[in-house]
Amino acid sequence: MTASPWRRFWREPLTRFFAAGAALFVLYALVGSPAPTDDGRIVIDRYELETLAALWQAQWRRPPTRDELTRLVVDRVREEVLYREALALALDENDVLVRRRLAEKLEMALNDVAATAEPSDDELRRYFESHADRYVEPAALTLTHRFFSRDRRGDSAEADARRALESLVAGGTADDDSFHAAKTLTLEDADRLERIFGTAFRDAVLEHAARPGPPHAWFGPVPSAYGAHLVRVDAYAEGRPRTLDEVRATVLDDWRRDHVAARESERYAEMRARYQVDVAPFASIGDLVQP
Amino acid sequence: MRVVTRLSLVTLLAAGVAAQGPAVSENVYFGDLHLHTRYSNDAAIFGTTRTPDDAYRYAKGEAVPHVGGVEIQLRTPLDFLAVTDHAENIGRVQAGPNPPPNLGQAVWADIVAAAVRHYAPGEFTTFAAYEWTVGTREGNLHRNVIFAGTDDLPFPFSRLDSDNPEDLWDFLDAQRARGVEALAIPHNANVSNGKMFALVDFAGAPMTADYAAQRLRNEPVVEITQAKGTSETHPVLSPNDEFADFELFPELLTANRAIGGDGPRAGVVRVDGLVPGSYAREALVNGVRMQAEQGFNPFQFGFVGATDFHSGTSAVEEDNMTSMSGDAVDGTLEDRLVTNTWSRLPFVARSAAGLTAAWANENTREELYSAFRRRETYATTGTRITVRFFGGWDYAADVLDDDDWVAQGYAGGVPMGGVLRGAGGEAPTFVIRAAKDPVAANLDRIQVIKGWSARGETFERIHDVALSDGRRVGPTGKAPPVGNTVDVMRATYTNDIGAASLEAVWRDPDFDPDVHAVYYVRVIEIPTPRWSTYDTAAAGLPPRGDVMPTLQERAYTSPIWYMPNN
Repeated sequence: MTASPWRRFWREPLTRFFAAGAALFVLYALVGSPAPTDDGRIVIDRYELETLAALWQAQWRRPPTRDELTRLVVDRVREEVLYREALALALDENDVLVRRRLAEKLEMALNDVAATAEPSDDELRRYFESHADRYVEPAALTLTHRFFSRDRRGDSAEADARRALESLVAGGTADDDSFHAAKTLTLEDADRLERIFGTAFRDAVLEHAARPGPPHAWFGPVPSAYGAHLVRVDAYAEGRPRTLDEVRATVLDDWRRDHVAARESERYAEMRARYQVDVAPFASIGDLVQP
Repeated sequence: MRVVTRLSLVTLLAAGVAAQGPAVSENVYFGDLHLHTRYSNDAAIFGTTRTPDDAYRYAKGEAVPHVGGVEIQLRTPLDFLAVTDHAENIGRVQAGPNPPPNLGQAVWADIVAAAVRHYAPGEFTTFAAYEWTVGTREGNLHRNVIFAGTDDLPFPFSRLDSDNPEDLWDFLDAQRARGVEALAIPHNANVSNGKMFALVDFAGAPMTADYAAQRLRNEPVVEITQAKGTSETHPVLSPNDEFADFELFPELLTANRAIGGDGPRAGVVRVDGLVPGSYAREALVNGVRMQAEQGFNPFQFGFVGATDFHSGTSAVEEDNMTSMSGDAVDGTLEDRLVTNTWSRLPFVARSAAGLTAAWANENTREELYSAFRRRETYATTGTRITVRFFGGWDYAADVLDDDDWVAQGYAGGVPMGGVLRGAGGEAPTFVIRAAKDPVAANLDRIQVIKGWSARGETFERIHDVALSDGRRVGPTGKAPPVGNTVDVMRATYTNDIGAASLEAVWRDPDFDPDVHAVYYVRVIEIPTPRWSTYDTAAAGLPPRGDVMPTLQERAYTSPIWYMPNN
């Protein structure tokens, strides 16, 4: 029996070493490091102490004792010394983890600047109008249904429903089953039919409700997750666009989010334009790439 | 204009219901009351960059960016969400070096502002909330604090203020006295080393009626299912419960002790935690015993479920689980399929669970909060089973054949979370109806779990009250298993077994009118692939050997208590 390449990959000590390194790297990069000084000084200031203590607490769910904090500081200094020596030896060059982390850090910094931006009224309105489909009030409906349980009736549920439909259409009654939810429902968002009856039911009822024709007519059988139903749409209101005033806060929120993303791409495009990129032909690596 | 008309229609309907008799809750809403974002220091360490904004957007069903340039999205959006970041040094790690002096206040204001911004009454509800994160060396006592409103909120009372839950309750009582309503939800009792449901107070002294009243006033519900396992019960406590061995978290969070050596992690030893005092079912039954013997019950609580994910995304769907702990540590298939160095346990031991279901008439903060208060809630392991549970003396045997069975349920007794007081010595009738998640798996069975005490001892008994596929309870008291359609290599199942819905009108055959008792309902689905099996199938690997490849998702209702008249 041979292990899959995947498994072999993860069994590699080197892979595990890098995975462990990545986790540590993310940790220390996220919490920052003391301001680098070139004069051979390492300063562990109040903020750095606070960070060490907070990290300890996140891990151990209590603040460190004085002894424990001392050990954290000793380790932190050791790491800083090794870090600076490594920089002096240029060990950061051609290191995938260092590269990725620095790229991420710059990305985050760009986001933070853009996140505080304020649009003008015009700008916000233009944004709202070009994304009008996001701010639609959903269709609403009231329906009445009759239920023919698959658990109780098995395969005859649908045939029973068909017979009952004839009776209802003729003005009679339907001898149906009791249901776990109401037999008459009003939904402000018609899409929620899926959460009560299942996907097929929602699709069939919404298609029917949107079709022009006389309301209040029984139709079916409509399949649900529970059996067959006869359905009567008592009221249906199509979705409609909302006005900017109704949804201003949401639009502002969305604008900021998109603005952040747009600024990031712009800034990237500017930076990217400063480089000329040469990529070797894929053929040059032979069968390391699938044809 | 139409919005106004619609709201008034709903108001009229609600008023009509109120005028007729007992308050009827028409709808069930599903949400997550426990989720961390980048403002939790551990989440920030795990590489989570999502904000409360992102968390609410994802919960509402929007697509949000994920590691590797992909977008992730819930298939079925949530109805409500509480972002509950760790209050201790809140936001400190994500702020990086040299944070502003008022960092905590600014972060808390941002969390509350996000809750205000994303609240859409009738469509989606948010709660301003935080986690009080007390783990002493002896065991976890974590609580989430959920505020009823968003105005005039205090700065979070955290572990830095006190590690005694009674002090947290004093704080909540003081807030209530000035008009700010909130409750605390204990969680991960399973890793509390017997502390969460200890039979003494925090100082180790006997409990009093005042203690019990203060506890219940502030903690009406307990979270029993989430990423770090199940707190319902344990095989050691419930040896006759064939479903007790479900998604147990095998390790105490805080019972590791550092001893001597160099460096913070040197000489860590694992200390096995206590099982008694760590699980909700045992506490419910102990509470009933204390009620009988001492006249008060400190453990008269209902059930809720939540994720406790640290990724800012309540990705609770087994086949759509994209990150629990943080994007940098378990955000990709590759991350999740290997033992992660950050955890003492592989991520695979964690559960894609759970949700809180609340019975209410509208999706508003007032309605949902009121459901938590009156315990008309149930916990699920992430699935959206619908379950009703009523108890009373006035139900006809064929009540479930009537279209208005829900109205009869409320009129003739109490819903889940309620208390029945003795009436003439007759056994009460329980009316139970469960329906499958309409876009997920069929149901295996409905169980009633009863706890009671007699002569100073406590007892539990499990009744299978409804079984799918015509199965019956055999002479051993057990029903045959429902079967299993899961293809573990492909991570698929079919609904060829099980039932779409199950129901029972049930009376306790061992009922004794003089004995205090507690009853709750457990609804169990047919076997489906566990999230880890969807992962291995996607990677073309066989299922992992260290966890079960399939699971039976379930719902646990809040109990109904029976108290004799005297």
